[in-house]
Amino acid sequence: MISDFRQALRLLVKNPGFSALVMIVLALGIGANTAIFSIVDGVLLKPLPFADARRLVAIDTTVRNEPDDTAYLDFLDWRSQATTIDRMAAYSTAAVTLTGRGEAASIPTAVVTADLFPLLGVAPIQGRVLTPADDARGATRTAVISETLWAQRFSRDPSMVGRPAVVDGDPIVIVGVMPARFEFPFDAENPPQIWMPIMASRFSAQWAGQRGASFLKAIGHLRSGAQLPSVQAEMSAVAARVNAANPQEGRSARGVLIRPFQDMLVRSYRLALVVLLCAVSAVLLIACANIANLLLARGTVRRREIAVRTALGASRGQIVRQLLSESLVLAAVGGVGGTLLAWWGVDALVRVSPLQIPRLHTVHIDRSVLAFTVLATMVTGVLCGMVPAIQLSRANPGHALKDGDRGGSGACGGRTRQVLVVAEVALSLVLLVSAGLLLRSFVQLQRVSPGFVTERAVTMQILLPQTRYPNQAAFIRFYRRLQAGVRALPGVTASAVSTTLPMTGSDIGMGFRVEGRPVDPNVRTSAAFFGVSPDYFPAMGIPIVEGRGFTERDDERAPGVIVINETMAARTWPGENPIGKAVIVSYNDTPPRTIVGIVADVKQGGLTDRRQPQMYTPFVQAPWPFLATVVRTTAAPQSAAGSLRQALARLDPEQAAGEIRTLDEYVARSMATPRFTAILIGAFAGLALLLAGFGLYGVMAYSVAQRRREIGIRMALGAREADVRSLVAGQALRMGAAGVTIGLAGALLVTRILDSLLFGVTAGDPATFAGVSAVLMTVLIVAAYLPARRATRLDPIVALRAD
Amino acid sequence: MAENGQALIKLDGVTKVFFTDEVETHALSGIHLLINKGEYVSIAGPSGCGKSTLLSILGLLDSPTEGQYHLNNRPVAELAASERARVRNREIGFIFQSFNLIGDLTVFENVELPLTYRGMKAAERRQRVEAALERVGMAHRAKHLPSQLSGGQQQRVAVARAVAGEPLILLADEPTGNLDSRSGEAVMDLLRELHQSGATICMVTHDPRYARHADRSIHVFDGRVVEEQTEMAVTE
Repeated sequence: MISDFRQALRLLVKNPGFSALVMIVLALGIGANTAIFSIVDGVLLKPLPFADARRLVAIDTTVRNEPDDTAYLDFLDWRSQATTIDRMAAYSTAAVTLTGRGEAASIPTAVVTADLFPLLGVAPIQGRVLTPADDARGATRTAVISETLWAQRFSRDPSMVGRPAVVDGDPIVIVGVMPARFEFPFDAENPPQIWMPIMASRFSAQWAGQRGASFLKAIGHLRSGAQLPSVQAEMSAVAARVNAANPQEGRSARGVLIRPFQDMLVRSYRLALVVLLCAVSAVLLIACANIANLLLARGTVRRREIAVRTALGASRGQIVRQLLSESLVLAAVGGVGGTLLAWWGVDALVRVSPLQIPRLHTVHIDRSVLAFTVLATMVTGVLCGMVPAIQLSRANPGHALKDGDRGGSGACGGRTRQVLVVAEVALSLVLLVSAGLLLRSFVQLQRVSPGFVTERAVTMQILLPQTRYPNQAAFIRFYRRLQAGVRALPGVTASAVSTTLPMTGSDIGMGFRVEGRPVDPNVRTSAAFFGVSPDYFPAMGIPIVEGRGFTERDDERAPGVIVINETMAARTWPGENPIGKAVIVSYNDTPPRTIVGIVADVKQGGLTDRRQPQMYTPFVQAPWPFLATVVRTTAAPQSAAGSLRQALARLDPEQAAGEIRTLDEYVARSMATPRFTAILIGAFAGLALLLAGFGLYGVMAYSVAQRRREIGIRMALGAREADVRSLVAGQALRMGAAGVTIGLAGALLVTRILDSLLFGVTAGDPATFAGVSAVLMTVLIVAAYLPARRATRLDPIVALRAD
Repeated sequence: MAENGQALIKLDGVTKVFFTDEVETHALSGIHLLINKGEYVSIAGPSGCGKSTLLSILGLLDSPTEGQYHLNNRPVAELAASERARVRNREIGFIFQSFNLIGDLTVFENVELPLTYRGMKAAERRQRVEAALERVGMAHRAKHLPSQLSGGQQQRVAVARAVAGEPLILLADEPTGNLDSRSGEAVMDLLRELHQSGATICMVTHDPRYARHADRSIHVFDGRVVEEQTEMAVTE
């Protein structure tokens, strides 16, 4: 075996050009596979960094079978009645303002039940975690902070533990510091830095008392031996009992859904990542087919050597082992190169990946990734070498020895080489069609209007602490001063305020009923809800379709008014004009609001969102402690952000600004995953196209070299250039056509799994299939033309004499 | 090497037909041949008469379409590929017209190659290779590559490779075909020495000068054995 490898190494050194080409192709292929696998492994496969992570489940309320948030009182009932789940915790995220140490800062925070820390099994590096006593109403307000916050704001001062910090104006005692690696809930953009008991936050403590206030997510740990189906059955029964005991409006449509926590976490990204892994594996397969073809071509030259070895008594197994050793050595060097490339590539890939992918920043090359690389390298080596090895070991040594140095008829592996090229073309077509569909889908997505104008718009989110802004009057005062302050900023051409802005990830859903219509207790009608300033629609560029928008006269003393979107109008009042009609919104038992206008639909969560009902009221008629301001400015976004911060500081130096971004950034973020998938698969497909082209070119060039004598005879007998060209090109195009036909059939099957990643284009889109086939055939024609042209330039006398 | 007087190779009615799409080519037709241990036999005949096919069958590189082949009293015509490889490795030594040394291997490694396939331990391999190279006078060239040797030297290395495994029989296919007359004579002398020390040799040649070195000469024509001559008849 060692001598096999020694000989293999010597052979590689002897053919440096060939070896380098193969090793570069393999390094690129294995490197790309390693890099993509490291992301798949880090995001999808690695257990979450918690104790007994495989037994963690997400417990979601469902409304009409769609996962939704859970009310604290429902959570308490579940926890007390569940027997198959031995620990259960609830959590939600928010932002709080930290003051007293340096500039006021908005800090991402999680409000949690005290069970969370023992459930996750992560110990603090300082102090202690939260206990049930911390989570009792009236208890001293406490919090656990992250190591990052401890370092940034408290200079790692151990004496901070046990002392209070000012959070949202309240003194909150810091009881512990969690290690930097602790992340929960997962949010790569705004990872929580503070964990507070639900009762320590004034907002959540207030909502915790209302069964209608759904604001929590729940996580549980399965009791030993409990299986998911039995847990689901038990929790459904528990949810039904809780519903029966609380017969409020719409509750009969609620249920509960139990899912493995990790599955829930990565569900939006799984398909895209798996598709990427399949695509990059296909590229490596195509590369393997190309290298197998090169080895086969070289093998023809080595037939004599193999025949000698056979004559000397080498068994077929020994010949195969020798040849496999060569491809394994090539693959091993490629694997080392690939690992180095991946080391660099993973960082680059993570930088261009959508930030929202959970745990992406923890992705790195570790032992499991290296194990994958070793496996991929070995499989690659075997795949590249097996076909040539079998083919060559099968050759009749007697014939090879008799053929002398002429290299025989050239038939060795001829059919195999053609089959490999057909397979390459077919696989490339599948990849190209997939890439084509995803690219078209991305282009379609870019054409989608979000329903508002994004240009030169900067937004700032603000959360008002209850200590300094205790009531609606205070919210309204702040809102008016903010409006005035922002309008006065230089360069601002328009400004507006809304409780939440579309595409920012914030959303308020509110139930409503139509005045005068009987209520079906089993049906809960709801819509996205916005409290907006009068200039919101013109400032955002949202067209008013019918009626009017809001004016300054629609203030807190005026009759309640509401503007709805076209979808809400069409669904709730089909065939009717809703203007002048009234709806009762489930907001602080306010009186009916008269519909005064209809506006165009706006995409709320992302560009792929389906149409959903939306309703707007004047902010002053439904004030909230969180609001976002949007300004259109002639200034650059960076300086506009600074101006907004300064305006806020002038207004309230204790108030921290939340996220400041442009609307363009929010829209781009909603396209990050489709863009990432389309670009990567596009790159892989381009590589596949190139490899398929080179593959066909290589086989045809070799075939022409092998058929020199035949072509010479044909020319001597009077064949014209066109005859020779069609002889060669015809053979190539037959292979190409076979590959394209098989590839089209394969693509029809494979692209079905892409369905959920596509937007505005179907998986069987004929234009994409036809366009991609045409591109591939064009490349193949070029690849065939060059050897065909070379064949026509053969001098028949030289060709005949050379043989 | 084998003892004299016993049948080492026995062919009974061996026929070889090559089938192509439309044509059947009868390369060998009903060959009967007996070669005893210690014999030196030459096979002669014009180009295309089937002598190389016969040698391929003798060397288990090819199998007969019909007929029986006994090597050392053992039927070998229908052995499985792996067993044929084993027999080739242990019982047959090849010497080719074009030497067929592997260009990437040194002289030592070329001679060692069949022993490697045999799974022999390194120390024993070294001993055998050195002895074989010594025997053909090429020990001083052990570290050279074949391309650094003359044709005659390459063929001596090929002979060393053939004898290193101590086979029952040496099959030589035109061993002087690619050599000048002086080198050819030297190789023939080497074969004669091997024969005198007990080796059984079967050599294909079309050169009557070299055929005379053999104890017995067989003439093949159109795939049939048409004449056999003993050493005495040949020399007369």
